[in-house]
Amino acid sequence: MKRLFVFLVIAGCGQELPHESSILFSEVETAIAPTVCGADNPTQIIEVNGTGLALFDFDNDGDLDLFVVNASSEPCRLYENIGGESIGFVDVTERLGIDIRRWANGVAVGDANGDGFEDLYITCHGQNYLLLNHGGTSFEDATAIAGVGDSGWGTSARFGDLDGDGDLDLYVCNYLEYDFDAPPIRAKYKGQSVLGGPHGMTPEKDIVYENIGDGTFQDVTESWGFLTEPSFTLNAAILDFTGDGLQDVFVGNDSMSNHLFVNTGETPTRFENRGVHSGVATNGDGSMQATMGIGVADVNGNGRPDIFTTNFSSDTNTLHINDASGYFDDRTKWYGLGLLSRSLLGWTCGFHDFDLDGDEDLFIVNGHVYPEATMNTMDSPRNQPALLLKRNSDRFERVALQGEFRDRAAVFGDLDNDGDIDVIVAQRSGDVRVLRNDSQHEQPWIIQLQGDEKNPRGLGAKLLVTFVDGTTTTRWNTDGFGFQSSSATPKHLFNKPIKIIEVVWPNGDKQTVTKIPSNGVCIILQRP
Amino acid sequence: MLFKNQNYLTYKSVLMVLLLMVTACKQQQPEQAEQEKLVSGLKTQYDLINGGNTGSARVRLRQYMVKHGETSQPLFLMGLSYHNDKQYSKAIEWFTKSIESNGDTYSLVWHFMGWSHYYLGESEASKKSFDTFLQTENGEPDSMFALGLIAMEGGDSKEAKSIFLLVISSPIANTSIQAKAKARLADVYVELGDRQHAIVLYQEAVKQNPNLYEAWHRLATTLQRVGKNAQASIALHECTLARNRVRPDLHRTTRFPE
Repeated sequence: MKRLFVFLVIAGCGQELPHESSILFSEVETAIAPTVCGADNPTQIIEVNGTGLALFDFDNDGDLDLFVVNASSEPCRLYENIGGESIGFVDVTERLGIDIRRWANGVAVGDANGDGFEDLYITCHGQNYLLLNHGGTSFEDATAIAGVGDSGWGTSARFGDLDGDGDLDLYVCNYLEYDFDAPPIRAKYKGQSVLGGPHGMTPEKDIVYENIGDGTFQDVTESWGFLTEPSFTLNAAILDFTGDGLQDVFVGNDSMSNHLFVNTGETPTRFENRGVHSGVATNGDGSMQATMGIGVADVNGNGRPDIFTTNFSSDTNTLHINDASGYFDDRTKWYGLGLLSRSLLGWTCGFHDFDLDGDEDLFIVNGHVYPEATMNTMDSPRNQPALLLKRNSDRFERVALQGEFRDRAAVFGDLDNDGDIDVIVAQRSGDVRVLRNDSQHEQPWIIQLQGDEKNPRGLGAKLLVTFVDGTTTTRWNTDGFGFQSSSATPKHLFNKPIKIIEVVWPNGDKQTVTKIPSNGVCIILQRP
Repeated sequence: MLFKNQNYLTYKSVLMVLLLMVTACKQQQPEQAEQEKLVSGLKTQYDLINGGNTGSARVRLRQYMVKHGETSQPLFLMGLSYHNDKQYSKAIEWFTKSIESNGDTYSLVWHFMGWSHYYLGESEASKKSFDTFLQTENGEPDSMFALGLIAMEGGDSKEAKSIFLLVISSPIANTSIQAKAKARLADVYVELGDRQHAIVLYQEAVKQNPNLYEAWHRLATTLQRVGKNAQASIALHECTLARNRVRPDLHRTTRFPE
């Protein structure tokens, strides 16, 4: 059922109007309950980050289901997609045996035990949880057996094949030491009294778990070279950033230098932090930023993953372009991505070709952490619009979106199987909005990857697509790197006929496909 | 629109250099000249703002306005006090009042209005304000510099380059502004793929203003890109030193941008 048409008028803000048809989203009414993360007006830092979402197909029935994290005695909830060609969700939390009532924050999706069904790793303030998915009929708490119950303040987490052995290892981001009984004193920001932290608080170290392959994981943080000075980590992205076929880890730290842990390829597995050396530790001016959201795409078309990060208000988001020689250059200004974010505080972001015009657009959700925030007091309001930036040549141009929210999390995927990317957005302690993509488009060409049994979604794989017209594009199979969130590994959608598909699987294996099915849907199975 | 095209730019450049030469003979910065226009009763408030005592300045400005009325100059100074506090929305509110007040508009208000809009990310409004200011203060380097930044954000490297070159060659630009312009011109050269030229400019910038930590950082990264790692390390170290001198608050474990 459609509640209201939300969008979209192409607005320029003085910019040239996009040349293609507009992107159109409609908000769809669903039975998804609002998220809970503390008081409506937060007074403590533990409340401000909100909670995450996971979009995944838990029962392998071909549509995308939704997991909603809640940070309180209100349980985390799993919703089954029952819509078919429409969009509708029903709460199946109890039926699936899920009972997480903790101060939960984030969620990662991955097939931890290689049984073909996606499992959930839930980060909490306090012990994290691994919920194993038994054939889409129930979830079981396997935290203790797996040995992944880290008890820091977990924010985001990611699955990825860090050691190239085929199974999914786990990176857990930890923020800081927070004691509910001794919260930090209030602080000042732009002359206003605001909730305290993270300044003056003690950061916690991140944890890296190796998947042993027998249902257990091992803490390899130190032995693999991830042990650094603890930082206020909010997000991470696992991908081959250096182009050597090995999975690396970009780590986003709040107000501290980001890390880029580069996989050295040595045996035993070892990573080296090249954050400063590569240029991603700070923005181009050398300033440390907040780094809540991480978006990855080949923005400049050189076949390498570029890194976009969202940041605090009165700062700008940052686009680090990967120059394919181990370095990243801050080219935020040149793509028009700087000034427009100065009054916004950004969280989850994602690059997707929403209008199927051949290039990836950018969606960013925003909302201030301080309830006192107004334009007058902090040059940034508490409720903020999401940013939809349409790619137009070498620029990103703002498309007007209606409404202002306290958004934190977002997940992206084709909810109604109509061949375009829809969006689900969660506010901090607020409504979960389902935005159906109603953009007009032709039936797309679709590529889906199916990895081997240990990593059936092919998380971390790279796709180089050559079209019939000779042009190329590069995409990656990731969970989207949403803040405290995890999207389904994508259906890759294209607007023109495909000639050749080259896949680099996360273990480095390469595969080329030249026989493209006439129906335009190409499912590529990883060769044994 | 300023610098709309190359011909206009060339014509404008010639005119501007002539004007700047005349202005330079006065040995005075446009901002200085404007500040001297402040009525004597507002000098204390102005000094308080510049000394960082913005709260005290606002108390005295309100007292002044009760006595003398809400005229352009005290309203401008109210805006300036918030501008210096990095509260740009509030600053614009007062700058707007200043512009809309009776009597002559204190022209410097447009300059600071431009920067306030810039820091709020409002590039169109920012450009408009700077353009307005430059109509009365032709060639004022800091406003020109800001237009260069806006051109960068607009992806127009050609226009940005032309503007920064004008600022650098301006006889009335002080070394601080020249250094900033050189550093940003270097950014343009990096964008255009000319790293060697960029390195020379970054080096000139930090020589003119060793506190320009952003330029040290960009010098370091650019040196690194061309394989001069030892020099890059030195530049990175200088960046840290400069930042600690200029912005000790940034050295704290964490802070949010204000």
